[in-house]
Formats: sequence, C-alpha cells, structure tokens
Amino acid sequence: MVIVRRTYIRTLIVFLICISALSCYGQTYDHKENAVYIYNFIKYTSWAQKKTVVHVGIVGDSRVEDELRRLFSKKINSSSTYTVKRITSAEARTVDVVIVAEAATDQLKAIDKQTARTPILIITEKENMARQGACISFFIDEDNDYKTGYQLSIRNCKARGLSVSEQIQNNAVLTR
Amino acid sequence: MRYILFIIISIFLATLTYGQEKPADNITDTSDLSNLSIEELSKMKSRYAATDMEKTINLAIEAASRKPLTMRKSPSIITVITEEEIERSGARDLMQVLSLIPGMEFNVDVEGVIGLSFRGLWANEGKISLQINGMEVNEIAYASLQFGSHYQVSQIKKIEIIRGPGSAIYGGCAEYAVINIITQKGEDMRGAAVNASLGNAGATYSRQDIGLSAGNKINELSYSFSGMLARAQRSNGTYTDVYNNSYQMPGNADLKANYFNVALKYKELSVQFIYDNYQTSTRDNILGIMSKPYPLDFLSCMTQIKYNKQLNKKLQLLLKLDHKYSEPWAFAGQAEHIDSDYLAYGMKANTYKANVAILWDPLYWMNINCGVDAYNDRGHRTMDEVFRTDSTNTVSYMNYAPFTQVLMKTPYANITVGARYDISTAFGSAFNPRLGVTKKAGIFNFKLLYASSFRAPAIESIQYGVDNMKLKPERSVTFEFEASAKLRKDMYFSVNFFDVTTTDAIRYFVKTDSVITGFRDGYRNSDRKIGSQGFELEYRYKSSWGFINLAYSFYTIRNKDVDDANSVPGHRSMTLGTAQNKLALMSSINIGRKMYISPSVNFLDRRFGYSCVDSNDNGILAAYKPQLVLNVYIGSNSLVKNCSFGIGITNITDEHIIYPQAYNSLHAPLPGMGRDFFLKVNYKLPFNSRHKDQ
Repeated sequence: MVIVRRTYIRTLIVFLICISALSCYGQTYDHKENAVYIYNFIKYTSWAQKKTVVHVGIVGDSRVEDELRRLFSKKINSSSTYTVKRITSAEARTVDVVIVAEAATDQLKAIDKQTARTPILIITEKENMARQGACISFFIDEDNDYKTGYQLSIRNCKARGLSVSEQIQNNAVLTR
Repeated sequence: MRYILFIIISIFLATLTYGQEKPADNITDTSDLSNLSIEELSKMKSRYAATDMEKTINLAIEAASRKPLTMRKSPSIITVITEEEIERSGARDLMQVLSLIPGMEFNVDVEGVIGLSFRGLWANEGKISLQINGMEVNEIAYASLQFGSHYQVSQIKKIEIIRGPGSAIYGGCAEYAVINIITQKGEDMRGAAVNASLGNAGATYSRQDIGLSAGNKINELSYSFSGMLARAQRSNGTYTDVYNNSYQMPGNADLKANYFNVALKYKELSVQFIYDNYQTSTRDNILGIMSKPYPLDFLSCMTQIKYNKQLNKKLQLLLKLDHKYSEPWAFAGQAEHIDSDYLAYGMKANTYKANVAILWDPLYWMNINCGVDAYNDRGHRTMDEVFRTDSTNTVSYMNYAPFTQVLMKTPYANITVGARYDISTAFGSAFNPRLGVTKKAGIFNFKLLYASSFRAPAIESIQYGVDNMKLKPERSVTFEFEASAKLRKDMYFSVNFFDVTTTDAIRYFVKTDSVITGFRDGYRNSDRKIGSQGFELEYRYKSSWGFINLAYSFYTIRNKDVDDANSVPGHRSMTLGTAQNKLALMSSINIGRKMYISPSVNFLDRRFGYSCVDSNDNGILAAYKPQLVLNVYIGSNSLVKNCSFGIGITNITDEHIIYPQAYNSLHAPLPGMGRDFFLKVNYKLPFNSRHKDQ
C-alpha cells in the first residue's frame, strides 16, 4: 500500500512540476476580426436614444484598440461616427460601449456596478463573463475549428435598456 | 517504476526545448473584413491553422455520450487513434493498435482464442463492447471477442476507445470499456483502393491479406464498400500444454478473416451491412492438446438501418433498427476418436433491436437525450443439442431499456447526468446511472466521473448456470478522475485515476467437492467484491517532424478482493496473466518530405500464470519475465502518386511473446508471433475530382 501511495504521489508531483514549468498557453484572437464583430455589434444594437456619435471606451491593454481606430476611420460615410479612447474603469459611464480587455477582466465587476442599468454595451474579450455583467463575451470555439464566437446575454442587454437585433442573436451562443 | 518516471520526465524536458511558439498563429491580412456582416464573419472559414494535435483532441467523439463532444468535453476517459497514426504505425491488425492503449492487454481464453483484459481484469465476455460504426460486434452466445488478424484496419478513419464503463449508454456489454471503430465513409474515400500486406516470420508466413474498397458521395447519396480477405498464423513458436505436450504452432493455429462492409446513406437515412467470418483452428483445446487442429468458426452478419431527422432547430429524432446474426464457436465436424473430449458445438443466434431516441435542446445550456432501446436475443442450438437449463433447442429473451441523459453547461462546469434501466426476461433488471463533471480552465481540463455499469448474462451463461442457478447481472461501480493539459499547440498530456468495484461477477466454476451433486460446472455469480485501482498516463506530441504517443498504465488489486481463479498466490496486488505496469510508445519521424520511420515499443511487466501441473493436477504458478516488443516501420505515402507503402519488422528482438490465461483454467500461455518482416501497399484510385465539392 505504501509503495502504491508513493507511486501515486510521485506521478502527481512529476505531472505538476511539468505543468508549472510551462508558461500558460492560450489561444489568441484575431483582433482585426474582433474589431469587425464589435463594429457590427454597435451597428445592430439599439439605444433608447439614437446615437449619432458612438463613444467606445477600452479598459485595459488590447490590440483591438488600434484595429477599431483603423476600422472606424473607414466608416466615415455611415450614419454614425465613432470615437475610440482608452479609459479607466471609473470612466466607464462616459462612453456608450465598453470593451474590457482580457487582462482587465478583474475590473469588470466594478464597471458593472458603476454602470448598472445605464445603456452601455459591455463587451469582454474573456468568455463566460455574463454573470459579471457582460452583454457580449468573445470566445474561441475549439469545437468549431478555433473560430471566434461570442456569447450574448439578452438579460444583461435588456437590463441596460439595450435592444440587440436578430443579426446578433442568430449567430450568438446565448447565455444567461 | 523509477525508470518509467525518469523516461516520462526526460521526454517532457526534451520536448520543452523544442522550438518556440509562433506568435502570429498563421493569421493572414484581414483588412478586407471591414465590410463583412456578422453572418458572413461567422460563416467564414477559420483563419487559425489548427495543429494536427489540436485537430486530434478536438475530434467529435461519438461513443462517449449520445451528443458528439470533443475528447476533453466528453464525460469519459478517452483515447482516440487516428487514421494517420494507424497508417504510420504499420499496424495490420486491430490487436496491434489496441496493444498501445493504456490498461489493455491480451490473454488467451480457450481453444486458441485471444481476448482482452482491461485494468488488470479479464474482460472478454460481455465486458468490453467492440463496435464498428456503432454496431456491436460481440458474438451473441457468450458476448465474447476474438482477436488476432480479425478486424481490418486499412479503412479505419479513427478508433474511439472509452477507457471506462459505457452501460448507461450501451447496456449490458459495456461494463468496463467501449471500443468504437469508425470506418471511412463515401465522402472520405471518393475513389477506389486496393491494399495488401505480406508478412514472413522465417519458416512460415505470418500474415497475408488483400483488401478492396470504394466509395463516393454524389449529391445526397453516399456509398462505400470495403472488404478484406486475410490469412495468418497465430505464432511461429511452439505451444506446450500444462502436461508438457507440445506442437509447432504454424499450420496448427491458422487464422482466416473474410470481412466486408457496405454502407449507404441518402439524406437522413443510412443503411449498413457487415459480414464478418473469422475462422480459427484450435489444437490447444481447453487443457491438454489434441492430436490435430480442428476448425473453429465465428460468423456474424449485421445490418443497421438508421434514420436521423432534425425536426426543428432544437429537436432531433433518431430511429435505429438492428439485426445481428451470429454463429460463434462453431465446430460442426467429427472429432478424432482420440480427441473425443472435443465436442461439436453449434448455435445460431439472432438479435433484433429497435432504438428510438430524441435529442432536444430545451435551453441554451441544456441538452436532453432520451429514448427506449428494446432487443430480443434468440438462440437456437443445432445438431440436435438442447440448452442445458431449459432443455429446449430454442431460447428467447426480451430486454427493454428506457434511458435518458442530460448535458448541462453551467458557469462552473459541464455536467452530465444519465441513466439507463434495463428490464430483461433473462436476468431481471439493472439500473445504471452515471454522473460526469468536466471543467476546462485555461490549458487544463478536469473530469470527475462516476458510473454504474453491468454485464448482462449472455445466452450461454444463462443456460449453463451451475445447478440451474438463475444468474444476476454482474454489477460494477467505477470512479474516475482525469486531469489533462494542452501544454502547447502540439502537445497534450493526461493522467487519470480509476477505482473499479465489481459485484456478482459472472464466473465459470468447476466444482471440486469430494461428492458432486448436480452439474459439475457452469456459470454462477461470485460472492467476492472484485476490482482494481490504478492510474494511466497519456502523452501526445505531434509536430511537423512526426509524432510521439506515450501511454503508461498501472493497476493494483491490493485494496480489492479477487476470485480464487484470478488471484496470484503470494501476490496480493496482481491478477493472473496481466502486467501491473504497461508502457507503450508509438512514434513516427519524417525522413525528408516523402518518407517516415515509425518505431514503436510495447513493454509489459512481469506476469504470472500456469504452465504446468503437479502430480495431483494442481497448477504450478510460473512468473513470466517482463516482455519488451520493438517494432519498426518505414513507409511513404507520397513517393509514388496515389500509393502508400512500407516495410516493417515487428518484434525485432524475436522476443518470446506469450498470452497467459487471465484465470486459472490450466491453459498454458499461448505463444505469439516472433520476428516478422512485412510489406504493406495501398493504392488509391481517386474518382473524378468534380465530385469533390459536392
């Protein structure tokens, strides 16, 4: 019995050492693609008051910021104009769309608290963030050839007085 | 043990030093995306180039739950062997492929038949369900399996091995494990192919086979055919029974397999037919050898009609009708006078099966599967024989099994809850619940699994009960925990712990009382609580230069009980015939761009068995030294257009391979094949390429 236990423990130790020796590896997004998704989310979301200028705030460091600037610069002929700026979580109330970078996910709860029931579309780069208040969360769909997908919380959108159109709903993975 | 851990650590460290991650993930310029809608974006092909390893671990597994899930999400411990791995390993037979699976070992049963043990437990009759495209191929009389040049591997797309119970889905033949062979379909073939292999083991041929396949998909119609004719020798060695009588195996242990599979699919309707005629010859019999080899035939014909209809976005209907005809263990001839203890045996058995199920997604986080499985087993003894218990030549048993399974995606974990309730006219009832919790956390994945499973007594077990005893189903409870990690895009590692407890084990029993009343032998339920515990490791590394698959398994029965027939006197932690430590390594390394070399290693630690008897006919326990089998295969699939071929050597060191019996019935270990040189060729003739995109 002692030998067996020792064997178990040794194997477990080897496993844990090997794991911890490695830097965590995670799939990365194509930020250009995410930027186009975000543009479409804004396009197919209705605010109670029609927006002619949509202010997008990014909390944390994300490559999607540059991609959005580039993309919005091409959209000058559309009915709305867009601004993009880096914000802190405390400034979340000053914009219409908050994008929470993956590294800043820990600030999501604070953002949700500060912006509760205000018409702000909260988009996170980290998946499964609906319970923390996200309206839309990106994820990499490993079951579907690593395509980018998004989870949509209609409940959170409604609580913020936002209405998302079928274009967004039809391709979303619905979450709470 | 220390050395094995050292090897594992070394391989880890070696692979960690290899290369750097590509930061760009092969994403091309995406500036042209700016005008795409959400729908267009979601329909766009993934621009991430998944590695071969990622493709493997994300293959949809059909056998583990009724809803296909990836290997890591499936609520079972799973090994997947891909078509490429089979081809590059040079394997010519399913037995060679399964010998690389952690916990799986081969042992002799009787009459030259080789069966499977799993996690240290003899598992040949009704404990492992072997399926081809979801059709169970275990014969009907005993629910046993026969290995050795039997199942075709050249047309396999992948093999899904559920290393754990499957009764909650598949019923009474999947108590310990499920092996599901998925063959190529019309859309995978898109052409015709001829394959052949020739093997020579010195004084005799080892295996010769030829196969033909064709298939295509035209509009909604998909069709495929594959067939094989094979003949082989079990061994080029010498068999010596427990009484020290011997014979040379070549010519006395022939194996012949004639197999074909036809599949048609049109829209939601699919039909499949399998013909499997496996012929062996036996001279080893049960105890002492016979004067000459006798043929022993296993014939199976299976038909399945399947209809899948998507009723709406959330609801799917599945209908299945199956028929299986089986003539197993058949010897229709007349034994020589000197071998009069070898009896003619004939049984024709049929299983008629119907399955109705629905797959329903009532909520975005929930999938429900429920339905009813009903089947009728009918056995008919031929040659004017009657079944022992019922004294009739025909028996029939009905089985009804409602089942349900709920898959729930929660923020904390994915949860699977399921159960199947079998009600049988043969053995009463068996309720088999299962619970699985799977959780992905970054690169890690965890599984916590509980399952109850059972072995339904097969026709001959029921009819051959000791003193007409009514057999109860054999019951098992299995707990498993798996932790796995996708260490890099091309590297995967998993470790799992298991605990199996079996009660009411169905055992063949011979009375040794001084005064025997009633029948001398037969099946009965054991009053012991048998089982095993242990762990299994799998490491997979697949890169542009080739791949390494390493599997290690360990079991002990120290904390469990075991029947006397399976115990090793003086060794509390082992069962007869199985190795506590098993290590299998399969690798393939590219040589240039067109060729590869695939070395493989299979190590089995010390085993115990009975090779001889004393003057009172009691078995004398023997310890068999550890067995190390080295193989190498050199092949190419692009040197000649449409042709893949290779040459290989199995058992390079001419190791004395043996298959000891995993229970004490005094059958001496059966020898395996020695050094064997072989050639494999596969020529594909693609059909017109205009069908490609249809």
